[in-house]
Amino acid sequence: MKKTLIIGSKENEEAGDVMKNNETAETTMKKTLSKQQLKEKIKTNLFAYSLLAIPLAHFAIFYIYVNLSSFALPFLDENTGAFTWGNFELFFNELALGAESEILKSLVNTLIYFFVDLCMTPLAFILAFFLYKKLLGYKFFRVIFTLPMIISSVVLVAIYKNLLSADGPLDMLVTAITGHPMENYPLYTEGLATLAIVIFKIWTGFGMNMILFSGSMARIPDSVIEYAKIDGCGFTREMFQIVLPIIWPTVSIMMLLSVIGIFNADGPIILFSGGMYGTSTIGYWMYNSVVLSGRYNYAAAFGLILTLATVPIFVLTRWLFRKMPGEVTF
Amino acid sequence: MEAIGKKTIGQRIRSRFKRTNAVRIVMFILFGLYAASMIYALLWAIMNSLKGPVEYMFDKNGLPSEFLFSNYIEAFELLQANDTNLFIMLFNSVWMTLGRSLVSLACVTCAAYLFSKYKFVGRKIIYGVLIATMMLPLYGTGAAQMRLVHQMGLYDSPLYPLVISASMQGSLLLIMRSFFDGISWEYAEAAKIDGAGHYRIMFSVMFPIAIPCISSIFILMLITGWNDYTMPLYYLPSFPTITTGLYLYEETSKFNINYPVYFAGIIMTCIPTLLIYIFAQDKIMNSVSMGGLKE
Repeated sequence: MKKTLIIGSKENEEAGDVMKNNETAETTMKKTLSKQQLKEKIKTNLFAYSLLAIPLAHFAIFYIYVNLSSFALPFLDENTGAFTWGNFELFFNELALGAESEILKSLVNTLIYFFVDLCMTPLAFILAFFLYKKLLGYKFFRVIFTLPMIISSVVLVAIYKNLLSADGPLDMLVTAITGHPMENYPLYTEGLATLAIVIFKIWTGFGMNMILFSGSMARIPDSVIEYAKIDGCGFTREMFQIVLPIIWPTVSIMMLLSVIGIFNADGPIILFSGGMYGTSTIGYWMYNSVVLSGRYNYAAAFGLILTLATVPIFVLTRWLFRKMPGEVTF
Repeated sequence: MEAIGKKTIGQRIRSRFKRTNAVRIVMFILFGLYAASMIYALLWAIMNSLKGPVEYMFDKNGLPSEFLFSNYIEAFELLQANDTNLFIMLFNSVWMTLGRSLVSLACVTCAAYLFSKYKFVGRKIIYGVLIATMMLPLYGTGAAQMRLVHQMGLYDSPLYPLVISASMQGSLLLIMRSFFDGISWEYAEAAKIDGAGHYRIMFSVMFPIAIPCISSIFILMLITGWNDYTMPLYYLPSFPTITTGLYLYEETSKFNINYPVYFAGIIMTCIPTLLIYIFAQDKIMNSVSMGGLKE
């Protein structure tokens, strides 16, 4: 009966139940045990909160406080700190400029990046599938596809920019095909610049999803694939009717997260053009307003509008997927 | 009956095999083209890091006429941003990456361990809130955070990267937690009978078992920390790291860039993460999917 109580895993819960039954039988034991139990409980809580104190304080300050104050900021005047609707008025006035408006441009570009992200998820799946099927040289390709995760985007952007510059490799290629050099440099031309950044994003963006999907595929039991082969199951059927359903939780959670974070879709705009040539996105607009111009209240007003706009998207996607990340093993 | 059945299956497999091979060849070519573009880009940068500035202007695509390895030494003098040279940038990168990764690792590991193995008051609520915050996109909080950082006096302070890293939020918590879920508590019970306390059990029994997961996540943190250019750019103007510094150099000296030396700096930036990758490739691959491993 002299069991030390360890609070935690399931086995111990059972042990606790057994103990409860015995407790009713031996009341004298109960008193000493419950005292011990209480002491142990206090100890456990002290231990837990001694470790959690710092991250909890961080959470309280940098999540809860920051978010609460970003609900308040839009209603305060930038200079006086008094209550005002001015920040929203400013926002809608700028929106009313139509095609001229930086905000509208940023919004449109963000949606382009979002769409690209969404399309890249199935591509990453196909890619991971062929690596999983041990395509010739799959180890080498796996390294190549993860390289953009290992190399800083500052480096990749610097190289990419110069590949597209005057007399660079792209220019050389264009000259070889058309007979005369490029007239407009894609990164410095309105209309082409965003396309060039999108291509960069696709070029460097497979790594993370590919690793995630490869990880899930590696855990598919071999027997499942063997049975499929014996049944004469072909490549496409194996891909879509066996592998995809098995790793669907991972695929769906990635797509769900990108749908919910729709306005977070972005490219490395800061590194490319500083938002010029019509490349601004919401992420860049925020950077520009907060870091470069210090217009906190105005930026927070736009943020609040975006947050409100996400609510219906959030509800809809939750209904569509009915999954929370906690329920999924990555 | 059986024999006939087998034959048809065999034929079916053969015809599938042909089609499968065609698909494989097409995919191999596509993958090969992708790999070629990536390798070409990197080789192109290495090639140009060895040219003279004038040679680069007139010939961006050929081999260097003379291999100027001196560019790599010159980079330490020439590449400056916010009055910081490459030496200091490197130093900033090292301490910031290590500091951020260690603080963040400690917080995530302890939190994941507690959520997995301990029942304490408020556990479910805290964990639930943490999960919920992952699903709630809140925009424009950068403004409030920037204001707060200014108010706290952490703006442009070397303490900022350490303070901001003391977080347990994010998907790494989920990964780490499910790893701890897979470790049996019996080891701890055995230690407990021998008289070990909570801290003893955590540091000398449970964490050593979790080292494969902890080290993978640490490596991942090191790589993302090294590559991050945004934090010093937003909050630490006096402490540019190598990635931020190179970006600032390119931004501020727009028409006066010594490109070959700049490329030399760019190439040097990749070396630490590439080395980590070469030595710990499998760990990186596993780290993200680790959580799903069933014991």
